[in-house]
Amino acid sequence: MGSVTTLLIAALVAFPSGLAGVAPDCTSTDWLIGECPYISAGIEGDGVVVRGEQNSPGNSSGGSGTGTPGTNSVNGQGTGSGTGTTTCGFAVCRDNYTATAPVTLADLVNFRPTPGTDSMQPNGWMVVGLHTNFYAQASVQVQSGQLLGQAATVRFTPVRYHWTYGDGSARSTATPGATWQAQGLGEFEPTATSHSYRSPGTYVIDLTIDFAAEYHYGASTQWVPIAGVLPVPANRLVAVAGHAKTVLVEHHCAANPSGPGC
Amino acid sequence: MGFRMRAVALTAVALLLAGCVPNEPTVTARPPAVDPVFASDEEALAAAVEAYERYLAVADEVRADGGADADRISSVVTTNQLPDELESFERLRELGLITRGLSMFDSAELQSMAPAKGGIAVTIYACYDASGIEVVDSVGSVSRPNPTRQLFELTFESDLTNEKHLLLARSAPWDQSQPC
Repeated sequence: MGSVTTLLIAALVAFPSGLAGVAPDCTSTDWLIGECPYISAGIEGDGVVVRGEQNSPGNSSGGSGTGTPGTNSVNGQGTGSGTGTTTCGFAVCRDNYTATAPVTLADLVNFRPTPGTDSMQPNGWMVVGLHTNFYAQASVQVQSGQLLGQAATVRFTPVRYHWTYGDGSARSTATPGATWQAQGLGEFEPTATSHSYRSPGTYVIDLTIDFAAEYHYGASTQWVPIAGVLPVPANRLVAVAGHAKTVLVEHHCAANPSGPGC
Repeated sequence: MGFRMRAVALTAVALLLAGCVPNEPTVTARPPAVDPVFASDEEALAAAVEAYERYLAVADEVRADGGADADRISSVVTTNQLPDELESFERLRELGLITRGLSMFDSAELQSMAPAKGGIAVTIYACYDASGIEVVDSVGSVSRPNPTRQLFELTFESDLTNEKHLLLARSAPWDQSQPC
């Protein structure tokens, strides 16, 4: 039996735990021929990973074998050798037989939302005891990529905003805030996202925006929510707080009647 | 319209114009009782199982013919599901594949029932068993599905001409981590 058996076996790729997974609609025919991908998505690191896994049937091939007669010894025992292929099912493989084990195709695609931006009014400085208006700008983002030959699409939606004001205080809001003008407010008026500093100094203000994520795959247009949220840092602001009497303005009130303090 | 009815109607119009209609409590008529399509969960499940058997029988026939005359499947699926089925058979034909053997299933369980267009939608889980199926390509190579069993979520909807007669409306393999 000096035959060669070649087995090409693909390793199964396990999904990381914690990923939400669905199998898109799929007919029995597509499932039989390995056209039903299994899709899962989860938040990993600083982005969303969408993974696809698709099984293809294993196959086997062969035909009738040929052999050369053995030589008989005196005591009636013989040896022989043969070459050729044999017909056999996948699980019963023998001489000169090539089989391909069921193959699992695995693919993944990464998505990262574009960070939002943090802005402040007045820009770059604060008046001690008066409100400084911080506001975020972040948008709903839709990104697509190719996964197992079909489109995987992820939608990021900003859902929560976390400010740390650099003076030991912090605030989390569901609103991104807006400029005083957009809210119809006057300068230094309190807003849902404003903050008042008690002491002069230089402060570092950080904003992290939580994005919720959803995805869909292939022909489906139904968004599938991904568990958890993705915190994405925005730009850092560094600003100086001072007393009103020390604040410098660009123009005097006669030239700019709407300027700070006028 | 007789005199009495005309008088009542005219009075009502006059009251409406004068804004003098009293606020009497609204009496809402109870909707007429509707017979459920299936008398029990068991009956619904049995109807879905029969529908899936019919579907698999026709699908096996079409696959055995390499996807030829795929329109046969229209007798066992809804019009919404039909394009997906036809596309699948077309893929089979383009790949030059046929299947041999019979599809089976077991462990059918009722998931839900809901009103649907023209009747009812019945969703079940079932373990599709392809252990008896071989896929044969154009040169005679034989392959077998892997794995041979898969849990499916299946939705069936009433045939528009007979609400108790169900047709396959949706087919989705369930989470691979679920045992079958």
